[in-house]
Amino acid sequence: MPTSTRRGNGSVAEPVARSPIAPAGPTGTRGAWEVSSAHSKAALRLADMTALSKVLVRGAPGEVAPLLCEHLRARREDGSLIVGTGPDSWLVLAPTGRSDAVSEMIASRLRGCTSLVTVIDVTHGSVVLRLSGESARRALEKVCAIDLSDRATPNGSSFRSRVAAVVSTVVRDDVDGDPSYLIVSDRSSGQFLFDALADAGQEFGIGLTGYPEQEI
Amino acid sequence: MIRIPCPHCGPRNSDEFSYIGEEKRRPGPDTSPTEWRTYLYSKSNPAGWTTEQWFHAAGCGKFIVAERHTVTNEVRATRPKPRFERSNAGAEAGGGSS
Amino acid sequence: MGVARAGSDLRPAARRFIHLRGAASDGQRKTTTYSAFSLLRHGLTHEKWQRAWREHEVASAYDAVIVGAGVHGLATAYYLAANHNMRRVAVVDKGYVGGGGSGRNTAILRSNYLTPEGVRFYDRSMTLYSTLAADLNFNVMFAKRGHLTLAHNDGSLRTMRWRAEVNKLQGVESEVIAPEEVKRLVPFMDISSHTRYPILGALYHPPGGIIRHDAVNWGYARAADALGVHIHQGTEVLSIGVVDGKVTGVTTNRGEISSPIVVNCTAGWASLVSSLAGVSLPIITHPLQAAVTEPVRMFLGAVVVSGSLHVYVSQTDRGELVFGASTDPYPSYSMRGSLAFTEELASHVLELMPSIAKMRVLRQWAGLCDLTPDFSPIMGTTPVEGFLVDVGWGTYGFKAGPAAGEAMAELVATGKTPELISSFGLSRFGDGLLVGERGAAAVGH
Ligand SMILES: Cc1cc2nc3c(=O)[nH]c(=O)nc-3n(C[C@H](O)[C@H](O)[C@H](O)COP(=O)(O)OP(=O)(O)OC[C@H]3O[C@@H](n4cnc5c(N)ncnc54)[C@H](O)[C@@H]3O)c2cc1C
Ligand SMILES: [Zn+2]
Repeated sequence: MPTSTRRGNGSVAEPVARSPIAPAGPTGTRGAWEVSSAHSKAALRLADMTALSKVLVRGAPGEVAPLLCEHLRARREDGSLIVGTGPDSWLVLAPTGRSDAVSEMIASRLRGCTSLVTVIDVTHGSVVLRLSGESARRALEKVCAIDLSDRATPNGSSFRSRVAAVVSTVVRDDVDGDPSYLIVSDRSSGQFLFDALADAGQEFGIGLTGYPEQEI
Repeated sequence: MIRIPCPHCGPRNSDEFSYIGEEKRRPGPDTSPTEWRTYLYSKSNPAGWTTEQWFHAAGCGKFIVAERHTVTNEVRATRPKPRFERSNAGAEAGGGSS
Repeated sequence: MGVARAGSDLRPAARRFIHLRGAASDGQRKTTTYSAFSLLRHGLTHEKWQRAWREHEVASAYDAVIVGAGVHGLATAYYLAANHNMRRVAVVDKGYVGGGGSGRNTAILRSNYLTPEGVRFYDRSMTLYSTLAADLNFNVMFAKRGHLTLAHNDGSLRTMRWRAEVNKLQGVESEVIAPEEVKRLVPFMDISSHTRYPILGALYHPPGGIIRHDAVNWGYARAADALGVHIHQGTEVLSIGVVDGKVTGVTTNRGEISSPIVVNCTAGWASLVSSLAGVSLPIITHPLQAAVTEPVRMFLGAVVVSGSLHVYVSQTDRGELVFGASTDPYPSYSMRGSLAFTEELASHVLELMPSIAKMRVLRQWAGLCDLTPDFSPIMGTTPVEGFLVDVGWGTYGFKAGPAAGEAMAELVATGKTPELISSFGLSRFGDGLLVGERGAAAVGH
């Protein structure tokens, strides 16, 4: 795979960041990222959302949770998604290129905390996938042992467990009433996780789709 | 496979956790070598209820305390592990966020 | 790999136990010698075979009581009678002969350990095993197939070189070999470099092999019985008498027995029995599982172990493949098999030998292992006078039965700890003198 990003006479803004997952179909750029511009109309779709900004926050549960989000929940705020990934850890997902702004915003909000708080940009350390469509739950159930029923895992909930044996954060984040899951894991497991989900979705006619207009 | 109700995450398969060991109090720095080795090596290893630590590696990433029956493998109670327990009064529970 | 039936293999053994009961008589006896001639005679006359060992009433006193009728307890009793003429000896077991790890192990014998103390000790066992069939007049089916420990990374290769050198200094045949040599010994093994865990080399130990574990247990039981040792099955030790720091005997569900010597040979239950005498041990009990496939024609000569893949395999003379792995990930006294084990085992075995994908697993089972912090056993005296231990056998103690039995018998009879086992005393943990065998004992039992 060529690694040089120079092409033609250099008049096009070249991407400097790539997901570890080989792009499905044709590619384009979004901010500094190379992203897939494929478009699938399948009832079940898998997209690589790694170009999203990702910020990890750690701090004392009692002080930080009321200001960000409860553990096992996810909350949307100003075009970003705040996920409670553990009793004392949070992950903020935002549109690409926004990690500095998001980190700033979170840091200033938590400035009053007396316990140690850390805010770290982990954009380039992890991958984000989105599995959406009617049979998303059934496909995910094949590779994850958690109860995904609406009662146990309703829209707006999150958990950390194994997905296809890979430790991941899963957020139930429906899009316009369409069941949808965001799955976040370490970058090094990205391709494997993507392939495993594509494989699990095969029987439901899964389609690989590109980075969407509406990012988060 | 047994199921362990994580106090932070809810019921999970035991393969999400790493077994750490029996609950023991760590002696302070002024302990004798013999006392220190007893702490390191001796195990009560009961056939029955025991209190032990597990680490929720594939979940919340927290250490927890579980009461488990070593014959039936039933887990009857779990709770978060308090931070930095020491037997000597001098070493107070330490700070740090995680 | 399909799973035809998962479950425990306890049932046939339990049936055996019932069958073995009821041949009650007392005193010494003339034991029929097993030979081609006696086989022919029995074939012609249909005469009943003599019981391998007898039932006895529990006497009120013995010179030594050995707790646990596994290979360790039985061998200790046999050598007490055979080498030291101590015959007023009882072996008591809450279950049946070989009902513990001794009837559940994967029967791998080897002496390619890591420490000089370990190598010397296990090699004594190999020597005793070599002539055991003749000594006991019982075919124990020891097959020196050769033992291969695969290296998949530089770290393991380094440990293997280390082991090979220690082994050779102790006169034990052991060498690091290249992948091509591995291929010559096990032709269907994938030694190509594009696998996920390529084989970089192996530690080859030609004298290593497998044995029939039941035959060893039964052979020792029969030979000990013939010398007058009492074997009491279904006899559980409920308490141990200690007066003024000295052992006085045991209480069992079949009555009290007084004895100046009590030897704990209870492996997975060692902590429980020791605590009856007020002795605490640095032992933790983990289940260990194993599985066998349906029998197929002989194709696997050597015993193959892969520490990185947490799996080992051998083929019995009957043609079954016997698989094992590392212990269950948490301590327990439960002997239930688990699906997680079979799944993981199958995936690891297929990584090594993709060609056996169609074979079916017939049975899986578990046994209890008494793990020590340094992966070496604990043999010798305890703070309670007369209460001796022969425990801490973890996942590797079957091969040790003869040497441990011989040494423990000497200790009981002479009151002196033999040099061969002097590094393995209980006091080493307080003294900080551990005998680290992890690098040679964690998976390759
Ligand atoms: C699956 C598996 C595979 C293994 N593979 C190997 C291998 O390949 N090579 C190898 O060398 N080793 C192997 N081992 C280890 C080996 O089996 C043991 O270390 C060895 O058998 C221990 O023998 P033992 O005589 O000390 O104890 P055991 O055979 O376990 O006997 C202990 C006995 O004590 C009895 N007992 C317990 N409590 C009481 C009581 N209160 N009163 C009376 N009796 C009591 C029990 O009923 C039991 O019969 C394996 C073990 C397992 C489980
Ligand atoms: Zn948890």
